[in-house]
Amino acid sequence: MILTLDLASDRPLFNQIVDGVKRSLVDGQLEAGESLPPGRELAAALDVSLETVQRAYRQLADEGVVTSRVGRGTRVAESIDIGAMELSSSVDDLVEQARATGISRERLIELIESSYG
Amino acid sequence: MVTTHPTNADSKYKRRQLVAAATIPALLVGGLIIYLSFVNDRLPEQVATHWDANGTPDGFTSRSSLSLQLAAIMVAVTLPATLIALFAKGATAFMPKVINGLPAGVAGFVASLLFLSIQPQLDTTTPPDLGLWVIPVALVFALVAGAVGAAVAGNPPAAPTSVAPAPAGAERLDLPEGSTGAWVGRTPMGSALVISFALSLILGIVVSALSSWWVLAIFALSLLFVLSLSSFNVSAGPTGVRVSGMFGFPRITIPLAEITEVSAGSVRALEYGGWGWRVKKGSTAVLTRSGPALSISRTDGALLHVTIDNPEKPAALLSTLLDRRADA
Repeated sequence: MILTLDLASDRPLFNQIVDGVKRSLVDGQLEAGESLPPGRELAAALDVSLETVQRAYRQLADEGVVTSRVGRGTRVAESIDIGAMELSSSVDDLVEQARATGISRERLIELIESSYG
Repeated sequence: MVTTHPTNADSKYKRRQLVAAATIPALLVGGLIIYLSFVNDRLPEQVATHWDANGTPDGFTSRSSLSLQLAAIMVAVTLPATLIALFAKGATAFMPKVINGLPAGVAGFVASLLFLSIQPQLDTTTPPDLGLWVIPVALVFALVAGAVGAAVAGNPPAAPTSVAPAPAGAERLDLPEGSTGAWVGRTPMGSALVISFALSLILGIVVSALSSWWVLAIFALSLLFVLSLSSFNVSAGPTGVRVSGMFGFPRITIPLAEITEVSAGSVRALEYGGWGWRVKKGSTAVLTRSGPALSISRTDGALLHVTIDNPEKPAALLSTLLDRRADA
């Protein structure tokens, strides 16, 4: 799995790691049930602090993307719905665009419903 | 960076290595011989030199040839480690502390084991039983002697650094300006490795069922050792390349500054004499199967091969990072 960090970006590094892991899942570099690299390894490889990686892993665990268990490390959750995860970033963009153009939540839902037909 | 007489630093390091790998073991052999010459009169005619699993003596050597025989055993056991430390450049480059400390550690282990087995035989004619406790005691002494050896040899002189870009033909990764990236993965479990692991597990259970608990303990330890060499974490990024075993050891770290070229190719395990951690002619190969592998060339000419699936990705990433290093 390749993870990239934009060092000039305002987005915190741990968020970028979270995004990177999700991207790897979407493009198939990482699969359900597969182990994530040990935090120390990833921190050393990316030249970031162990805390940053642990924070990213915690967030991924909170979102249900991975499961962490003592002795087994961190693994991608078996039940992960990659399709929904893939869509969620598009949905984020859509909501962003709706907000920017002043379209209300209800109007957006209407638009989606009519598009579904 | 100012480099002053690297050859001078090299020869100093070689001298320290010689002391660690040859002089310290020789002193331990000498110490044992001196000890034996002092206690010779107090030993029985037939000295016990071998014990069975229950600690009962089952092998004897005459007092007159004892020194020669024990010295020969020590030399025979230690010599391979000494030769590796002095001549296997690839091994010492990647794990200097372990390789430089090993000869003194091995000699220390054997010397203390021999001392502990000879000492109870002084002033007695009945050969005493030997408890298993001597092994952990000898291991502790071995660790101390090994640490002294590693400390005497010290760190190898810093390798020259490179600032050249990756060769023009190599694949690059599209990495936007201002961002950085790392590849993290693991060596795949080769089928041959899985089969041999399963076979040795079955063999171990059968053997253990037929014999005592300590055979099982030794077997479990060796299985752990095999396991530690069967899967490796591999990473490549702005800090360089790291390869480390399942339990964090053995480990190789190559800083980006010491990398001259990276390529994605293929290795045949038999070329290196099998699977695991292999050292041959200054090259180190971490092999869990034959097939695709990432190859790294170092500034000192040494090579590292590590088997991974899709080595093109980390190779492209590293080539991009090498270009940046040259631009900076």
